[in-house]
Amino acid sequence: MTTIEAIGLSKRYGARNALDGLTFAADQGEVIGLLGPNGAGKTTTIRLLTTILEPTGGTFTVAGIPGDQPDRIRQRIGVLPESAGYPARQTGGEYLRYAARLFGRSRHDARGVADRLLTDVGLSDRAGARISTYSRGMKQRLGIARALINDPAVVFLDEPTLGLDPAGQREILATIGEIGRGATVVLSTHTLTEVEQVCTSVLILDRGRLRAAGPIDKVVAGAGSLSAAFLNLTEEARHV
Amino acid sequence: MNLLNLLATVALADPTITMNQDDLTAVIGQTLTVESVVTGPAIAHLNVVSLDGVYVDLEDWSQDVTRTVPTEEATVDWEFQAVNPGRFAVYVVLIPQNGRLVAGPPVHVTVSRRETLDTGGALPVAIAVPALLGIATLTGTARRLLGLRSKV
Amino acid sequence: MSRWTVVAEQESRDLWVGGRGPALVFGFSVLLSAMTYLAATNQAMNFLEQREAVNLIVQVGLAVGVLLTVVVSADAISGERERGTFEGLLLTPVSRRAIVVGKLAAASTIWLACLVVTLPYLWVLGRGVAGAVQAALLALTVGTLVATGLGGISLLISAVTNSNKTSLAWGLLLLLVLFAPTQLPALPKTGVGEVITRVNPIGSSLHYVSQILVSRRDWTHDLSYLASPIVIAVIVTGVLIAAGPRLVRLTAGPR
Repeated sequence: MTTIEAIGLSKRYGARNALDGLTFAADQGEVIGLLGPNGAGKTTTIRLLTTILEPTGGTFTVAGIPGDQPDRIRQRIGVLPESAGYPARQTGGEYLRYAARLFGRSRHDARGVADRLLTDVGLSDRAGARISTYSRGMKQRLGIARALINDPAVVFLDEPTLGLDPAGQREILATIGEIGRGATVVLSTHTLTEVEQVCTSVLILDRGRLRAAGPIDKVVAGAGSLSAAFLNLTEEARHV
Repeated sequence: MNLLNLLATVALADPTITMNQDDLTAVIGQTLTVESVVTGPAIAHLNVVSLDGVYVDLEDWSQDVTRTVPTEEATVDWEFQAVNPGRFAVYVVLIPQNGRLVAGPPVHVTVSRRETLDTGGALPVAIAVPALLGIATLTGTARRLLGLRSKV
Repeated sequence: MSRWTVVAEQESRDLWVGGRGPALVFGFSVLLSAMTYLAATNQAMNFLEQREAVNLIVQVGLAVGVLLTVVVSADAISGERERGTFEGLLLTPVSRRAIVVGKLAAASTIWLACLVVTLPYLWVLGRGVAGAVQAALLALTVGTLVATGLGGISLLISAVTNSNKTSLAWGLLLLLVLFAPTQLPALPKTGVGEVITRVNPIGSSLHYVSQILVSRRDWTHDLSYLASPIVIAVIVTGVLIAAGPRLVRLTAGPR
């Protein structure tokens, strides 16, 4: 079942094309790696599909809902934004309970789901501590818990391992693997090894254009490794 | 008297003024209104003079001391605040475009002193309200910090 | 519970439990205490009639209460953008309108708190002249209108700026511009002077309040002076609700 479908999706800022005619589809349970150098359009793609930005061209559906129904789409997705900020004065538990209530859960349900997710991401013992006392890795795990607060059909994770030490990265990747068992996951990252570890397919973007899409082995074919394929595709575009 | 003379008499007639009060009493700070009946055309000006030799700053008494008076008879209200204690005369002068000034009869105003406010009651409230709010703020902050520290 | 109330509840909680609201209201009470004590004891000010002293406290309470509402509203959207927490809120299914209404409602709680704090001062200065209850009702009605209008404008400014400092500066400048004419010693009461007083929501409100409290006019006597605060409150709330989806975005400026 197709959970994400983008057709000719574009975003322009004045004369600059942040995203130019992106077309792809993803199925339920798929974990898609969104790769590209800085400024390739990865974050723009996520912000378009999560209805934070409005496209200047093209159409898309997420979880079977067309892009012109943003409130319904947001009900079915979970997102960990790039460099997400956290309210320093709230506790982790408060933060998740508030998020759950914004998704329409009752006070009682919100408490239940917040406690469960804090346990799932290993933060139950710090639920009552202010977020300002959390380490970066803990904040990322809290962000992932928030992205799952509404049992989403599609989860978008923008640079979830940025700034984490290897142990923190491993924990986050394990969590992503768990999520991928039920929902479609779009993972935006600079780290190719992460994609190789957890993703089933990949989209490679460069300067707003799609350079390659498909299962990892198909994209890698002939290049020897994902790293070589990535460099070939992005360098090639620079020389054209 | 021919028509021309009659018109000239009317046009050149002196403006007139009468006041509807003779005497007023007030406590300091009170706002008073006196009523005058005037016939113009003229400019009407309110003035206040102390009968005890106290300096009077007219601006403190009223900010609206000059009015234009039409030809036909009109009632003009003058509002002022008694800002000094003592005996005062409040009067209105009419200044026509030509001719003599016309002063209306004075209204005598006696203003008595008064300690208007209860200083004894104000102090406890002025201290208690910020004190209670300060204690509530500090207690809330302390409880939150202690509660959070125990959970860290 | 509708979603705007969830936003309003959490924003109010952040304001009051987070400590910012109590600190602002504490400062407000210190100012009112100083004004009350001076009005009641200073010989130079002792010519004040009781009703004038009550009027003074209503005017200071209204002006400073509205100032605090503007300060809190100015932070509501641009502040979240700066702290990076706004995207998380925008990613929920809560409508943009509900976000705006919830934030305005939360900011209004600071005005209501200022009003409650003002009551004992009105009581102590207005005892015996039946002025305290009237003053409290005036502060509630007129003050709430002004706080809604100017708090809403401040929220609009916050929505169209990315920097908290910028939105705060614009909000305070607006207040200064509106408040300055009320301090002119002798603004003419006719012609241009009257127009300036009538179009200025703060000037017209203060005039209306003093006419009732000091000059003992009827509530309906100068009711037309409330046109400006009513019109501004209605228009600003309407604009926030109607234009909310276009204003509440991740970043201000061109799309």
